[in-house]
Amino acid sequence: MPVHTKDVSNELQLDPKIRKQIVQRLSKEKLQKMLEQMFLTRFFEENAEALYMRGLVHGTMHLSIGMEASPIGSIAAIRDDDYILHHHRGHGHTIAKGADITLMMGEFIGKEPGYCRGRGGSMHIADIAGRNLGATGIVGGGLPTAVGIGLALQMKKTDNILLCFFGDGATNEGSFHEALNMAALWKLPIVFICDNNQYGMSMAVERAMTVHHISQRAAAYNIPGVTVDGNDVLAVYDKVSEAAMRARSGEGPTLVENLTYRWRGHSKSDRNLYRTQEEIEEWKQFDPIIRYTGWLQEYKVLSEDEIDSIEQSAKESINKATETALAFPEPTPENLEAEVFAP
Amino acid sequence: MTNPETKREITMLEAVREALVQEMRRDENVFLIGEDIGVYGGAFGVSKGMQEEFGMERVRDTPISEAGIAGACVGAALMGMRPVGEVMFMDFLTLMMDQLVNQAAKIRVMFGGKVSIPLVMRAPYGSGTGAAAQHCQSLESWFISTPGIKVICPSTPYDAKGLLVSAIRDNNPVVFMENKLLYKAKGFVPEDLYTLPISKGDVKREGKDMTIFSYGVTAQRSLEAAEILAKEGIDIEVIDPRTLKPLDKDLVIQSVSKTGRLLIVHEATKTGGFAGEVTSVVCESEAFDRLDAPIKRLCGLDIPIPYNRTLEKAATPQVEDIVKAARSLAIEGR
Amino acid sequence: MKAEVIMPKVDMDQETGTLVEWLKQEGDTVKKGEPLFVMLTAKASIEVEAPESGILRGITAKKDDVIPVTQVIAYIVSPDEKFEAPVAKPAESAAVKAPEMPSEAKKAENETSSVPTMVAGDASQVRATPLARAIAREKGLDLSAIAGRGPRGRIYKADVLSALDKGVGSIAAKPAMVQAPAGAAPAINIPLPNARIRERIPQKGVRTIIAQRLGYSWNSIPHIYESVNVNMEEIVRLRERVNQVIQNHTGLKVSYTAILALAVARLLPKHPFLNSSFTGDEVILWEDVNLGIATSLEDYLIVPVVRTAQELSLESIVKEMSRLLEAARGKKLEPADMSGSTFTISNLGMFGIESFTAIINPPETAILAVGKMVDTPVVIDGQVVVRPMMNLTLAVDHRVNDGARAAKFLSDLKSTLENPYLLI
Repeated sequence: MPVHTKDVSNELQLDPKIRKQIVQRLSKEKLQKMLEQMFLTRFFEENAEALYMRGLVHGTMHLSIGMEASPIGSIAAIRDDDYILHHHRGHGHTIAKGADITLMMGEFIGKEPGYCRGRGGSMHIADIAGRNLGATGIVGGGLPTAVGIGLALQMKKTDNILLCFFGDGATNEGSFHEALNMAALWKLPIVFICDNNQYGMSMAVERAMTVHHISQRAAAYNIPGVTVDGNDVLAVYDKVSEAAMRARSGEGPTLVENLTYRWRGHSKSDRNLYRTQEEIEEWKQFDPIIRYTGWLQEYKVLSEDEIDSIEQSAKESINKATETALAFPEPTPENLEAEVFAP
Repeated sequence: MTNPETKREITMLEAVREALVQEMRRDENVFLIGEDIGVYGGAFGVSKGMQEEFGMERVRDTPISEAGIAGACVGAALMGMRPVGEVMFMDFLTLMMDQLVNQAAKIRVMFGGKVSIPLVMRAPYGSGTGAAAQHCQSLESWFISTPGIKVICPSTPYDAKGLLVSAIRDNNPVVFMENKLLYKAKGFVPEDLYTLPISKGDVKREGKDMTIFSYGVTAQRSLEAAEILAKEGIDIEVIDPRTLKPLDKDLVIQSVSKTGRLLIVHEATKTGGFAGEVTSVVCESEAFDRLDAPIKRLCGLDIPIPYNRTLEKAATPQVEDIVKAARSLAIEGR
Repeated sequence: MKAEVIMPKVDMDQETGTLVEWLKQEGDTVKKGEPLFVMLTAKASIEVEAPESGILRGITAKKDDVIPVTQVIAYIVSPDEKFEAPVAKPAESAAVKAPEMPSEAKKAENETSSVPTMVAGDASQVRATPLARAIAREKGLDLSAIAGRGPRGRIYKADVLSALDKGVGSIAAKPAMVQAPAGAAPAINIPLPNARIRERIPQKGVRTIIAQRLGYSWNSIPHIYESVNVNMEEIVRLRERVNQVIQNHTGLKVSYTAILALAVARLLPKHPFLNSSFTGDEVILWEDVNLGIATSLEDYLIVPVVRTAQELSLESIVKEMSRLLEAARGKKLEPADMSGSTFTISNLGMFGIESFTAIINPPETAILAVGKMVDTPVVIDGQVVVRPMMNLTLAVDHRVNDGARAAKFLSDLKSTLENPYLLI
């Protein structure tokens, strides 16, 4: 059993009593919304994959199937007027921040009404109005940018915060160090969240760094670092809530590591040569959706029927969004050069 | 308004500082960020005394983290601030490349034009200070060839102030090149806040026999060269684009159409340099048919800038080099 | 290897030869002295013989390749010899016109010293600044006739303006541009006599064009002249008969020039090389006979053009010539009436000139000079008799035509005029 699977099955798992307390703190509405978003993300990506295989998608895409709890639990922990900055595997973050799935799908297939008018694609879906400041395709590229967003929030004396998401690979970039150092130094209102899916493309985390948990790196900046069972949406919600409170109160950033796993390859060209099928199957035992629906039933938040109906409705929404998006008009190349500079 | 009888002359360094101070007083979204810009006043002293007026938050010293500085500018700009970053030497832009090239330059288009990145990165550039290969470069062509970034390079204190104010107010990332030797150059600068249009070049000297296209310190050297050649009866027009990207193509085309001859002078290395681009602009325009001699480039040698004073001078165009090149081009075939 | 087969130099001033065809193929056994290939020089086509007996190997030249003289184009080897093509020295490897062999052509380009001179001039090879080109275009100047003062002869604005002053370099009719050979006589300064000036007449308008074109023609077209004397008695008779009819129809007299025009127009389609243009790298044979009729009008020469004359009847030619002359007198000739001729007839008989030579009007390649009809004692069937004789002198462009071709046309023309019923 890979070492990190052991972490999730043993030490990282929440004490059921704590989990129950978290559930009791939250409204049914909120709990249900998180489930809806997890379903939406799962079905969005499954549809995306199907469209890709039918040749309807230009370029590549990065699927986060199996990782949904990390973005959705994290973003559930902040306010609507807070900000997020994320990365190329960002469909879940975008849905969690309240994006319109039809416009997302439109962008995914490169249509003019898509969020980025077909200029960005799957890797760069941003919803500026929804305070989703977008996804960078450069590993570690968003971290220095986060410093500036944090600075602006601080200088404007708002009480908003920023969740800055990145992967495990980004923490080996120099920009990670510069950004965390500066954010810590200036106590910027940022929560740095590592979606640790354990592979930088094919590079296993244990082959890429000597620390056991990425959260240990927080010590270098004298900020709190915490590793969370990233396939437990409630645990993620709980830890990010704490970090968000700290950021909002001016105490500075926290490094939250959500330990999770991507079921699919890095991108569509991945042949999974660097890991075993057994390992993937192992992690599928920790499907964040199945675990969450289990707890919701266990704590009598939702019945099986209610869950089925939420699932069904998410599936239908995604199907409808896909249908609408496919009929969206294509962008035209006439003014491409003129739009490069802002007026 | 400025009284023309008391035309105030200040240095380019003071002009840059005045632009920053006046813009910061006018707009609280403007702030400075960089290494040693606080009490130290910046590597060249541009921000000297500014922290006293604007405080540590708006004249923010940073750790030695160029990617962090650039990222801070990109992020703050995304949030509607107007950051002005200072990189100590243009050479260190290499450490900012991802933030400038992949983030600042791309974000607007990548996100469907729904956001803009109004940042300025001030970059002291050029040789002549004996700082050798890693502190003397002119790296404008990298940014000129990056869609989404504007590049400005003033040659006079007057242009520096007006263009820096415009750069700060512009809604796009701007690399603002300041020549280190020109920091001490004096010139008339109005005390009032004013702007100069970006992408609008300037005829620094009118002439009819040939055109010299140059910017920054070599524009000043070209003017000196033109005066020397005027005594030989050669009448040179010196045009300064001031903004390198987007370029004021009309200015070049008009001037070359008039004179029929073009010499392009810059400090940056010749191969892959901006001069090649300007040459193509002329060749692709109606000015091509007015050319009465091949376009000539006088640029930095394709070498890392050497330390030794003689070698360093040999590496970039000096006044006497411009005189020689211009004379030979002006009399060719006449 | 027994011998190299080269493109031989057969003329003193020859720099290239065109390979017309191989008479033997790769691998054929050849005997010394046996014809190997046909080459074409500016003057003639020649069969080149095998220098040795053996097997023909390593052929590098193809049909229509223009090859610098002395370049090796094949080898003759012993039957038992294993042939390996020697590595060609760059200086010898260039076929000037070998679009199928770009690498070879490129080699030649890199080795500038080895680039052979083109057979004919090519304005695209002229070095000139864009501004110089623009002015030349605007003013109708041929850059290849202008000397440039720049490196490798680059022509500047100043050169073009100075050529314009001196009337050098005007080009012939469009659209098929005739291009002067590279190295055509550049403008030179010849001191004027030290004498009192009576008047200065600026060179302008039509005279400028005449000067430029004919100067160009004289400088660059190698002329051949051939003359015949034609017995015109049958034409005189014919004219008397048709004149009455045509005059009744049209009120116009039938001139001898008109009859000559008819004869020439009917014959030229059988002699297409005399109804042609030369562009420098090709000869264009014209379907239409657009006859230029050189006409002196007051103090200048005009050449109105009777179009598609090969299809016109005598009456139509008469009418058209009359229309053109009237228009010329009234200065109402359209440019189209004065351009686009493919062959010119120049008649000075009315001035009493018995014979003369004319200069070809480019881009034409031939011109017929017509003298006065004179009653002359001639010997016919052993008897001295008096007949109305007329001298015809034909000039042809030797780059296109040889003497025999010109002779054949003249001879046909003479027979036709002496037996005008052949025209029917």
